[in-house]
Amino acid sequence: MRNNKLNILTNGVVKSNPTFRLVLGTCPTLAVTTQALNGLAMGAAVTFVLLCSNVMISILKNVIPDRVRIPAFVVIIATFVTVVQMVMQKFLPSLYEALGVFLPLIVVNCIILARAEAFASCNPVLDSALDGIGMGFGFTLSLTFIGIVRELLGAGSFFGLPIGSLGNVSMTVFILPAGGFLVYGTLMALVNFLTRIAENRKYEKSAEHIASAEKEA
Amino acid sequence: MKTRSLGYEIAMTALVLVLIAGIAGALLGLVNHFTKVDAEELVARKATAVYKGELKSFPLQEGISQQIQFEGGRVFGVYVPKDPSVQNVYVLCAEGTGAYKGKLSILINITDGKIKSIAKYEADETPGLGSKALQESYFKQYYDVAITPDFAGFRLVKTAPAVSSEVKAISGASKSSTAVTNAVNAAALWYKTVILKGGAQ
Repeated sequence: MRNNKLNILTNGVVKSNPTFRLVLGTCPTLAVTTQALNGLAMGAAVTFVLLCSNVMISILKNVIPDRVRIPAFVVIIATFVTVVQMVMQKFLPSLYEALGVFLPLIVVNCIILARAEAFASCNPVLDSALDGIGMGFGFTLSLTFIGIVRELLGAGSFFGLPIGSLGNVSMTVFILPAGGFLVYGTLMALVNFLTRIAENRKYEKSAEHIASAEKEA
Repeated sequence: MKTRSLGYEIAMTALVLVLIAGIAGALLGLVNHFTKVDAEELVARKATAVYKGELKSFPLQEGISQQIQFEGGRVFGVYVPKDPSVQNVYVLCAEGTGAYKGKLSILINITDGKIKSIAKYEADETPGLGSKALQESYFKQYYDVAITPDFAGFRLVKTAPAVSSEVKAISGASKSSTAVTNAVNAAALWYKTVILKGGAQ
């Protein structure tokens, strides 16, 4: 049972990472990851909305009539997004400006609606909360990672701190949209490659087990 | 299973949706109460980038703004320190056209007839390219040049500047450099007309 909860939590980070495995929410992924900090902030905002909306939808799943669940979900998600937007504008104005239109667009982020529809609307509250945290964390991790790579190659800095004279040889294309696609695609290939290696190793190990068990028998 | 009447179903569906929307609206109203940012406060907060201290609004002198306006830009807000002992400090919000996405605006601190500092107010230039024209290293070129009644404005050049009123454009960001220069020139013109010449002439 405990293992099951852990599975739900790690599911979003590794096995069905929303960015690299499910390829959801690519629009903000490509648009805001010009800097590592922006990616981190976007991820944090999405995680908050995902957690709150998952919990709220899970609580209300028996109250919301089945046929109008989508409008109800959208109202709930939009409420939390607006809360994030207001709080960010007040307390983090520079990040609010950097994220621009992509902050209100979290309302239609497909990760959030997908988790509401596929998970929160048919699972208990605690599981939905864990799923929200896991998926959000996976999204944040991926966005920050893409941001770090793009910022390093495109501006020669790490979280806004210039690294030596790397800025002089940086390739601006990596901050531009084209570079976003390049980095995203390459990282996705890398993640898939590593996952496959890990899976193969697991498979070989289990095959060895079976082989040795057969030998003993 | 008992079938419910059409009216009941419609009423229940509507009621649930209205309730959800109502609670959501109330929550947002509450959050908004605590996070409201008014325009005046926003400008004042951004203006701290060029002037440390409390500012108050200064009349723009709308009547003469017609002559002050020139093609490239305009001044849309002027602030002076609240402290009456601080004289000759003006924080100008100026907008320049010709930027990559149309317009950009900057804050300019003019103290004793010289530009002391400039900061970005609202701009959406390409990171790594146009954004270089919104950094201190570029703004520095405008600093400490005396704005006299016959100051003709800053001129953007592509080679090393020969005189202090010439500014070297950022290569690869001519548009952003132009827009910043336009905004600075609008501010300089406003200062010349309103402060140095004492209003409409």
